[in-house]
Amino acid sequence: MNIERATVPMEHNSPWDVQGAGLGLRRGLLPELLQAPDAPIDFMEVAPENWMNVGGRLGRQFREMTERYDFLCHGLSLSVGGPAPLDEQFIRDVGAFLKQHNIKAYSEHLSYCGGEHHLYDLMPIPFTEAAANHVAERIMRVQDILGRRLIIENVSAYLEPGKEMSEPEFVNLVLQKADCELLLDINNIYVNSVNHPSGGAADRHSAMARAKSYIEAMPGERIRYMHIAGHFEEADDLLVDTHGMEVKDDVWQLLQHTYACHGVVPTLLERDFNFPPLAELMDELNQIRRTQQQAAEHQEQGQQEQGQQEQGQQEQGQQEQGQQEQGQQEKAQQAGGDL
Amino acid sequence: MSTAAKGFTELQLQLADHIRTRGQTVPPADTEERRLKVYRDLFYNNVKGFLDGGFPVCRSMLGEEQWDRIATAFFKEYPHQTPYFLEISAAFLDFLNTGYNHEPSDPPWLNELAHYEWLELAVDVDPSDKPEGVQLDGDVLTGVPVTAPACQGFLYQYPVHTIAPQNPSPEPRQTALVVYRDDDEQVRFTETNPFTLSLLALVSANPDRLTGLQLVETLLQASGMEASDAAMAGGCQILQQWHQQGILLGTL
Repeated sequence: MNIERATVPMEHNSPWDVQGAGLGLRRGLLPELLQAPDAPIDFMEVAPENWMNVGGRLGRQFREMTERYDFLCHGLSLSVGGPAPLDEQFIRDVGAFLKQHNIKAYSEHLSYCGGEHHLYDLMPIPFTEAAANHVAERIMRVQDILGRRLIIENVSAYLEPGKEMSEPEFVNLVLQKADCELLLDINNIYVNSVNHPSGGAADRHSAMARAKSYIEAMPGERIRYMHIAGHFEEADDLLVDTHGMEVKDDVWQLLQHTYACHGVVPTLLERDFNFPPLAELMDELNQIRRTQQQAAEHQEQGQQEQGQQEQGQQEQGQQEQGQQEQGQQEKAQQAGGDL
Repeated sequence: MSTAAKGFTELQLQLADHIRTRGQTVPPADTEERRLKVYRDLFYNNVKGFLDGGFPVCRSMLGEEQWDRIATAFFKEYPHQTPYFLEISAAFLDFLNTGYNHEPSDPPWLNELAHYEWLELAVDVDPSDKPEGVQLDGDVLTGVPVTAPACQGFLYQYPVHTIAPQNPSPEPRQTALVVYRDDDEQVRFTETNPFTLSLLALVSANPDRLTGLQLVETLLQASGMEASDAAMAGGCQILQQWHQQGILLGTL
């Protein structure tokens, strides 16, 4: 099946000034955040469904936050992979909300959240080519309506019904067909690698290897930002993506691996309940920044070494060398701008 | 639609139905019960969480077992459409009023109590704001009175605001409540009487921009009452009292 690309001129997401380490905004975090105007948070994210048509005290407080931080929207109800028709009025309303609050980008789940009726949570799309075509068509329709690219997120799953290809293959296929962008959720990759051995060994070491090759298979140029979060261990072979705990060591390792593969990308911590004091969340944000800084330094070293080798091999003019150094400085600034 | 496409859509609907019916329909093939249960529980508990949070008094008055039964019926049977999580509470009210088969053991005030609890949430986040140019110290009798944001009046058949574990079986009694958001953006309820609810309705919908005095007069005439000095004074007193309470912001 051949899908035509969206023909509407795509107003690209405004220049991507989102950087560093972000935090998902939940109502339970609001009181503490309002009292901490200097909290070192580089950007925030909300589910538009929880804040659209909200006035009064909450609406005013939300406005205060969007004026303070760069914001992204991470939707829950679009059901972009669902069997029911797209709710186009809802999509237009989301578009108005994005404009109203100067939201930098809109992401949604590569998932579906209902049959004929809404079920308000995320179900796994069967990994088949027909399903990929279906989702891609709908993503393109959303992009047409919004006049901006949609960012889709890989989701955690406890079942893989009707699977005819691997998850990384499916994600790649959808991205390519829809020409959209990717929100890479590192915790979801980990959860799925444990939950779905797909014929491989069930131990954690094998799961980590699966997660790493999943990450490596992602198209780096499409990754717009990343998520990390904590999960709940229901059983050794069954993790549930609750966002209610601190980020596990394995997930930190995978974040490091992702930066090494694809470069440093803005990364957001999701914490949806069981909130610790804000200081603990700030520690996790700092850990994101440290990981980003280390990755940027490694990358810079690698480039310098490579540059020196090239320099030895072929004589370069003074002018060219100057340009290269300047380029490296810019890159380092970009990567470490918010550190 | 190709056969392949039909295949994946059917699978999707099958899983959705299995989750929605809390396991009463057949799940997709080759799915482990333990993992299906994760989905069933996550989805149901998510929706039930919104009900628990929105209707704490209903929940405590009914008890966990009956509350769970109603929540399950709502989750399973209601044709959920709204993409907004805050509107799940309004959908629950609609379900109680139109789709739910009440059981003999359900208290007669259940729907009214649920409405009263929903109102608190709805008024808290109501997008309506103070109109521009309100004279806060304006005379609400000689000027055009303006109500506080999200101000509404309701007439219940039971004293819903008194229902509590200590008062589980109130006698039916017409109960007029005014709800509004005060200057500190807090939701306030005030008990009043049916007559003053009619006055509030006139103040809220006042296309001819009548003054407070004219509105009281209109109400007395519409009720077939004589606009005696005493009756006029009574109406005026209510308007002034509302202004002090913050139900009326001032004048326009």
